[in-house]
Amino acid sequence: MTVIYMYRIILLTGFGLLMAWSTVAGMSPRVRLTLDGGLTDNLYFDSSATSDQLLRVGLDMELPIYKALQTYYSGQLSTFADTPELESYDHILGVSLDAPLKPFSSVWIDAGGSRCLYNAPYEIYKRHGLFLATGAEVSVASTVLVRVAVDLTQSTYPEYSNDDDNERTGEKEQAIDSYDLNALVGANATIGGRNAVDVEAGVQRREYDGQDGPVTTLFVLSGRISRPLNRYTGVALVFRYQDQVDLAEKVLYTFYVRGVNINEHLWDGYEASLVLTRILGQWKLRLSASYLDADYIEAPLDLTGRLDIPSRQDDAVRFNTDARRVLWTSSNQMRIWGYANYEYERNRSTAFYYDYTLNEVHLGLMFEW
Amino acid sequence: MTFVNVPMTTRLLIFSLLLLLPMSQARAQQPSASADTTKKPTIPEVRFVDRDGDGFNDLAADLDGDDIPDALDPDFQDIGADSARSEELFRWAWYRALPDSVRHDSTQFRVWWDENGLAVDWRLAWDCLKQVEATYGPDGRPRWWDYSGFDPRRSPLLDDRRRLSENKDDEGGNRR
Repeated sequence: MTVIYMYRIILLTGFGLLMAWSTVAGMSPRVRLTLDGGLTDNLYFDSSATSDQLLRVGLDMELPIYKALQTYYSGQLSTFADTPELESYDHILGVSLDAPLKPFSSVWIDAGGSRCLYNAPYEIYKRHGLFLATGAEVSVASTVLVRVAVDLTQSTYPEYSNDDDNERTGEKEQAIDSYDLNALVGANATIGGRNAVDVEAGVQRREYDGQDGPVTTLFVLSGRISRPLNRYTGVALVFRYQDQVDLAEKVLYTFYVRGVNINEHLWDGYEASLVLTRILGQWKLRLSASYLDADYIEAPLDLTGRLDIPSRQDDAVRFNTDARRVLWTSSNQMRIWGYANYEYERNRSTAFYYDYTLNEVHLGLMFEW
Repeated sequence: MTFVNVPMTTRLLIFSLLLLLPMSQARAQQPSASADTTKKPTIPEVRFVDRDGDGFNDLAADLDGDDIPDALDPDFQDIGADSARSEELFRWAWYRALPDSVRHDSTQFRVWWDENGLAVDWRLAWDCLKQVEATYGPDGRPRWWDYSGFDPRRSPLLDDRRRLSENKDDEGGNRR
């Protein structure tokens, strides 16, 4: 029996015991099942404009253990009708402690592991990891909430190697580890009656172990002003700025496997959004328009390894509409939600590969109990 | 003594008085004889907090958890006909109107209770307060998942980080 199977058995047994304990102790587990179907005319968000149909099934469970301590599981299956090889499974299992200090103030700790599985030829995206996060939110005045959080994540890509020699020599692929440290501070305040201001500043630092990858440090500053326009309508202005502070004047080469970038994109820039929320009967409608200006720190290579355009600068316009409501509810808080979402995006890029238009629609049901 | 052991008549009396509390406060602030007595009594909104950025008050009562504030929810238009929901709503509103300074100290609570001229024994109200806290938590709000997955403990940055680490929904367009 391999170590992996032993881990699985231990985890499942432990989770089952916790669920049994939770039930016996009268602390009802909370469960959410999500079924989401969608259509897109641009699966990879690039100029190939590959259309496909998507189906996602999600399962979220929270099991109270004792008072503020709980364990949770979050899993998701993503499948694609015309691209079945892109199917993936995500699992997160964790324990969280949320200790209230006083009204509107609490300290929380969250720890757990995650696993993401892909089939060939995307198996290099397989990963598993551990995370530990802690934070606090404190009410420093009747209308001011201050928050701080730190998050450490370790990820292992067991099938990944960027060593081209491996293919020629037939050596076993090398796993790499990445370490992410995130820290942030933020505040939410209400001023002038009903104007809510939310600001947050944070850094995200990532480094790799097992290869000569770059150490990246991302600085993020975000802000939001929201308020009701009238009794049934709310409005928000959202701004986000980010800067890769370690990568000034550098260019990273990015490789792709069948349309998917193995690393996240690195860019400097900002995004501004206007969001309207409207309550119409029992429907909650949301309409947002965003503008993104991104200066990418990478040189995209195409599938043949040929250098495309050595600089990528995008400006994108996005529209998103969302409607949702409770379709059915029972006296013991069982609920069925229905929702619909449509997104349009026009991304103009100096790199032809990323000059694209996107239309995507989703319909979904969520069962909560 | 816990709240559930209190006889129904006493409970109704308590909640009737709780309903009258904001009215008495309003009267105190408006000594003029020309006050509009035709308006329905309303619970004062003591805080406006919008952590999820939808422009609506996160603290507005939403007893059925459908993300529509009860004041705007068609489900609650006939609340007067449902005594259980009505009772629940008044408990909620009273809890929200309570100053932070008296929530955890029974002595201060008693002073505040007496200052507001409430005839009901303060200990019954204190039990009621503790039961609300035990049911809804210190924020006086049911803890239930929001549709969007927003959790006030989490920040947008951490959520983004989590998504990015899963290689989906990143801002650069690589969302698969």
